[in-house]
Amino acid sequence: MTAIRFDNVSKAYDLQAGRRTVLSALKLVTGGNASKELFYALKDVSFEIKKGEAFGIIGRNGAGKSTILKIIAGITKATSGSVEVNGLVSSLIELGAGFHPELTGRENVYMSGAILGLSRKYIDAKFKEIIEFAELGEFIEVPVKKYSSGMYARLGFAVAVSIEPEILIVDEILSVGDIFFQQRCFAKMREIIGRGTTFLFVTHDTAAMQNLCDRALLLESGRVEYVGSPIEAVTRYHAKASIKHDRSKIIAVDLKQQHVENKQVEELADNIRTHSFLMKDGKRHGARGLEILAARVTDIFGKDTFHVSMQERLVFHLLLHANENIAVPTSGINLYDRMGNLIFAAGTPQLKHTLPGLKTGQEIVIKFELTFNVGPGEYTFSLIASEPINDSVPNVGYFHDQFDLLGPITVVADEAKVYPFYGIAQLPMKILNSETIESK
Amino acid sequence: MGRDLRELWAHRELLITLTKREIVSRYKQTLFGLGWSMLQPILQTLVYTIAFSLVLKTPSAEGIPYAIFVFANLTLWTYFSSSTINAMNSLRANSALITKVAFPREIIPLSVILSGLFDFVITFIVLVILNLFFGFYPNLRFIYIPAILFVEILFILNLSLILSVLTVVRRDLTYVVTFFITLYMFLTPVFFPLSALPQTIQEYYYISPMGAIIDAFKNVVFYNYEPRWYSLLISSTVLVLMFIPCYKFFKRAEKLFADVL
Repeated sequence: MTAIRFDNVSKAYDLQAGRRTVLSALKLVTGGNASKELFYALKDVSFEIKKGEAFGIIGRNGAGKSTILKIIAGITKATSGSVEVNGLVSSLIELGAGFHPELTGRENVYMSGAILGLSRKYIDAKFKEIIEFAELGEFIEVPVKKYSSGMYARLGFAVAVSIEPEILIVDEILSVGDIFFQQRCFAKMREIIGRGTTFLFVTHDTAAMQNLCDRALLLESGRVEYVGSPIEAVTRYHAKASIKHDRSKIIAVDLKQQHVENKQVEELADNIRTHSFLMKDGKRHGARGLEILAARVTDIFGKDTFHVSMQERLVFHLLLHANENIAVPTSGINLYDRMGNLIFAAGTPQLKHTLPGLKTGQEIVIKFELTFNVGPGEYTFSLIASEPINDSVPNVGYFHDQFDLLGPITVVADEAKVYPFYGIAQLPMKILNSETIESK
Repeated sequence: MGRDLRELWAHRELLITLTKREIVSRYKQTLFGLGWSMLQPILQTLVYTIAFSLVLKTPSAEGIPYAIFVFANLTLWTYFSSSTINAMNSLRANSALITKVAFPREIIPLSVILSGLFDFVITFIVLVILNLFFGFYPNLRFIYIPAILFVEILFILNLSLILSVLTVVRRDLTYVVTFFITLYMFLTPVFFPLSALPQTIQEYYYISPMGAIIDAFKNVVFYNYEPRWYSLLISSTVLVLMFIPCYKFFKRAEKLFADVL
């Protein structure tokens, strides 16, 4: 079953358009009088997307990505070639495109719903889900011109994904919002893809595309360069030119040498308490037999920070409190990337470290040192206080307390130097041999 | 054309929502809100009454005090002129929407025209109240008013379908059209009775849409007469026939909007 098919589609833009007189424009409308100054945004583009497929389009700015989307969404017409689209299309060409600044979030939800062709009843039924996803709280009754760009994007995304279309078009939207929102967006998009929705994703973000899409198309100056596996498409895309990095640099801060090793445990605990970044109403679950009272993250010199360079270390200080007798307390950290992938998780059992048993009311301080052998970007983390169930199921534990969506931790790379590695994480690798062979 | 109209019907919810958006957003930022809808024509009438009636000694239509005569004419005329100008600029004003979402584009000028109707109704209520002070009471022939209004809406719609497309290409058109609308206002006439105009122009009065509309409105509201049906019929027949090519022209040009805006 074909969801979208392009057969030799070309799209030309009229460069004279801005200079036309009313009369010559009239002729254009009534046919004939083709412009001599044409710019081809797409040239003989052919591809097919099957129903339920997650399809990505990558290409540099001006490659024609948005033009393809606009043709599919019916916003503009192809100059030549044939286009076939089967199914209700929801186009997220831009989040919150239909929002009116003077109207409140609530009014704009109905407004956007109507633009996307939904009935009032339908939005009524979905409204709760939409505002929950957007996490706007009382702001839903405030005119959207008062919104931050993140709030604006959240609401736009929430509306767009609530439609449950047959074909969902997503254009570069994941660059907005913070990492927490991005993780939820990715989770939502996976859910939509899992439902069997045809999904069309346009982006510069090659990692996100590889993560979500089954197949991909590489577009270069309006022509199809490659259609096939996302990995191949991304490799070719990168090979075309060196990748431009636009990550902003973090300015180094003077670090004061501090030694914490000889401090009393109580002082340590107090330090964690006063520097704790945990919030009482944060995302948290568990019965709290063993409770995470406070936590802080510092660099190796003891300065509180969420910034770290690639391959550098951060120290996680945890203060746990036993609300009941805990024979074998365990604790650990989960690290998630921007798309919500669990990059790494480990704790005391993995480190072969046994914590002393705790009696009700006792507290314990644990410090983990984690080396960030991961690619540059933003990460969230979870802190966990747990207890093993029994020795026969070593990989299952009882979670007493877990804080999720902490951070974000920003891992930065020195752009002036060659990266120590590329990809998600560094694996141990060494050179065994590099002797030269004399040519004969 | 049948398909276009069906498509439009399928998007009626959007038309309603956009119309509401027009109305709500217009009044949200202002202190008096709806009050302006009522105050504005009253202030205008005050100015015109002083300028034309008191200073220039302009006569009114027979048996009607000048102030409410002008107010009644302005009620119809303001709806015509502001809706035409707003609808004409509406495609440009909503370019963000047009370049991002697909839907029948005529919904945009239509929503502007329908939202203008809201102002019209408010001004009309003010007119009815003012008339009470001057001894003119609502009568049974008020049921003709929707028919009169229908002719006016059709006239605005036809003009908007053509002008909004041309404005997409050339913004200058707004100035030209504003000039002609002002000229038309003096030829219709709004501020003085028909008898003040030269005989040759008077002959065209009853076949000019706004002339027919203003005349019918005056007969119904003040004199409790039947409207001049032949004159309304001429205008509405011409306008209904004209609607087909106007709409076709718009639908044809529609495909280019996203590229040009």
